[in-house]
Amino acid sequence: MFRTILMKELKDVLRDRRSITLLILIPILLMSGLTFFYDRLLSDTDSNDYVIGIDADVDNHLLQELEVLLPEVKIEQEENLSEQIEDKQVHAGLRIDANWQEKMESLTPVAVEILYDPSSQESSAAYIMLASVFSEWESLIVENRLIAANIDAELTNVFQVQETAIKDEDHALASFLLTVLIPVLIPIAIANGSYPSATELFAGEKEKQTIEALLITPVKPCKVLLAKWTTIALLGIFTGLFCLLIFAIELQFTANLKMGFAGIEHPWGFVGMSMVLITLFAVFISAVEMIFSMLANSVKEAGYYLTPLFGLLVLPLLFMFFMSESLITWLYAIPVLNLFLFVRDTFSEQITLGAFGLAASSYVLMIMLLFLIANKMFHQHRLMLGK
Amino acid sequence: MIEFKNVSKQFRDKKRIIKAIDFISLSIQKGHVVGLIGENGAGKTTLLRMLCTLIEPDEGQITIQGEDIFANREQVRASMGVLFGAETGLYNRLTARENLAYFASLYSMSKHDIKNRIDMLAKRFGMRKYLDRKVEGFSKGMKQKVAIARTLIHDPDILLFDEPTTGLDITSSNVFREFIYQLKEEGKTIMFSTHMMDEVEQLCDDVVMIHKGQIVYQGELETLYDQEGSRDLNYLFTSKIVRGDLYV
Repeated sequence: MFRTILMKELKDVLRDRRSITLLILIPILLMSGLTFFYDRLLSDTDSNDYVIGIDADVDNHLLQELEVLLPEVKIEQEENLSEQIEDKQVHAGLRIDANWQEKMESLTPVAVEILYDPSSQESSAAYIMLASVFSEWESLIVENRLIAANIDAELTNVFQVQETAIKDEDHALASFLLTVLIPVLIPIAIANGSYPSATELFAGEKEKQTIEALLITPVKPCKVLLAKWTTIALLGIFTGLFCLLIFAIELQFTANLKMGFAGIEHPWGFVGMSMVLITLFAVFISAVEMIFSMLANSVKEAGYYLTPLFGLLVLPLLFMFFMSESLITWLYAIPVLNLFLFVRDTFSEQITLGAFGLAASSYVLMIMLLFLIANKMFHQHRLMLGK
Repeated sequence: MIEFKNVSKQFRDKKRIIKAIDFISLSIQKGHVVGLIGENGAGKTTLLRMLCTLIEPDEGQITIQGEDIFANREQVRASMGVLFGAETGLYNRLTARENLAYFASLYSMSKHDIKNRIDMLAKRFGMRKYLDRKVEGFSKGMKQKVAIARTLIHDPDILLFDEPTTGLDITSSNVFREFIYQLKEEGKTIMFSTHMMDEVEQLCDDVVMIHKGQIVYQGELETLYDQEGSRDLNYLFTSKIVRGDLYV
C-alpha cells in the first residue's frame, strides 16, 4: 500500500510543470549563475581595468612618471575629478602640487591628494593601489636622497619583513568562496525542490478535498503520511544530489574556483560525507515543510508560512562571521549551521569523524522527533479536514 | 442496520464550544435511501464524517449490524463509499482511469478486478471516451461521474453522499438522481445530505431532519406526510424548525 501511494504521489507531482521547474531548472540556473559569477570574481582582482583621473593641467613630465609607475592603469586628464568619480567615469583621481618638481628638488613635501568613493568597492581598491604606488615611489626617492647625501640607505631599513603564505593565496580565496557558496546554495535548492510537493500533498489536498477521500479508505493514516513524506524527501534528495552533480561538472569549466578544492586532502571523502548530509538534510527539511503544509488550508497559505523559513536557511552564514575558525564539535548538533561548519572545516582540514557523526545523528534525532509531531498532527481531524 | 445511540460531538473554536451533534439517536434500515436535511451548520457533515469513521464522537456509540464502527475502522471503511461534495476527491493531473485504479488499489483490489470494475463503471456511466484523459480538463458533470465511480469502485454496501448535487446544473443533478435509483435497485444502503427537498421527495424512503445538532424528525417520508397532513416537505421542514420539535 505504501508503494501504491508513493508511486501515485510521485506521478502526480512530476506531472506538475511548477515542480519540474523547481526540481531541474532552478538548480541548473542557480548553480551555473553563481559558480561562474564567483569564478569571475576571483579573476577580477587585477589592476588592469583601473582608470585613474588626473588634473587636466598637469605637466607632461608627471604624466610620464605616472605611466612608468602605473604601467597597467589607464590615466586620463579630467576637468572635474569628483564628478568623474561619482559618474563612474574614473575609479579614483589624483591631484598633485603643480610645483612638484621644484618642491622635490628643495626637499619640501609635495601635496598629493587621492580622491575616491568609499561606497564603491572598485574605487576603494583603486585608492589602495595608488596609495601603495606612492609609498613605493617615496621609498625610492628617500633612498636616492640618502645616497646623494652619502648616507647608507640601509639605515632606514629596521625590519626585513618577509610574507610567507602557507597556502596559495588564489587557492585560499577560492576555498573561502566555496565554503560560502556550497552551504548556501544546496540547502536552498533542496528546500525549493521539495517545496511544491510539500505544499501540494497536504495543504493542496486539503484545498481540493482529496485528503478526505484518501482518509476514508481502509489504509492506515500512518502509511499515507509516510508515503507522502517519502515523496517530498525523495524530491528534495534528488535536487540536492543533482545540484552537487551540476556543481561538480561546472567546476571543471571554471578558471579559478576549482583551485579551491586543492585544499581538501580527501575530496572523495568530502563528496561521500556531503551526500550523506544532503540526504539527511533533505529528509529533515521535508518534514519541516510537511508540518507547515499541514497547518495551512491552501497552497497559498502554505507558501506564506514556508517562504520566511527559506530565508532562515542563510542565517547561519551571518553567525559564521563571528565564530571561531577552529573546530567546535558541539556546534555540529545544530541543524543547518552544521552544514556551514562541515564545509568550512573540511576546507580547513579540521573536520573529524566525530563532528560528522554528531551532525548526522542530530539530523536523525530531529527527523524522528518531527515525524512524531507530524503523525500526531495527521491524526487531528480539525487540522486535516479543516473547520 | 446502522444505529446512532446518544451520540454527541462538540468542537472548540478559539474559546467557544460548538455542539455539532447533541446526543442524537437514529437508525437506518439496510437497503433504504435516507435523506439528511438541515440548514448550513446543522451538523449534517459531522454526522456523515462520524459514520464513515473520520471523526469519533465524544459520547455515544455508532454501530453497523450491532458492531461498533470504531472497533474495526478498516473493515467499516472497506464497506463504505463516501463522496463529500459533487465532484471532489479527484486528482486533476491523473486520468480518470488512474484516479479509479488508485482508489481501487487502496481498497486492496487485485489488478484483474480493478480492470474489470473500471470497464464496468465506465460503460455504466458513459465515461469510456474520456477515461484516459486527465481530469483537469473535465467539465463539472464529467468530474461528478468519475467521483461517483470512485465512490463505487470497491462495490460498497453503504454509500454516503454529502451535498452531492450542490453547484451542479440540472442535467448533472438528474444524472446523480438516476444513479441513486439504480443503486437503490441493487439494494445499497444510501444516506445523503441535501438542501434540495425535491431530491428527498423523489429518492428517499426515510428522512432525517437535523437542526442545531438535534434530530427534528426521523422516519419514513409517508409517515411524516400523514402525521402533518401535508406533502410539502419544504413547508414541513420549516414548520418543524420554527416549532422546535425534537424527535424522541
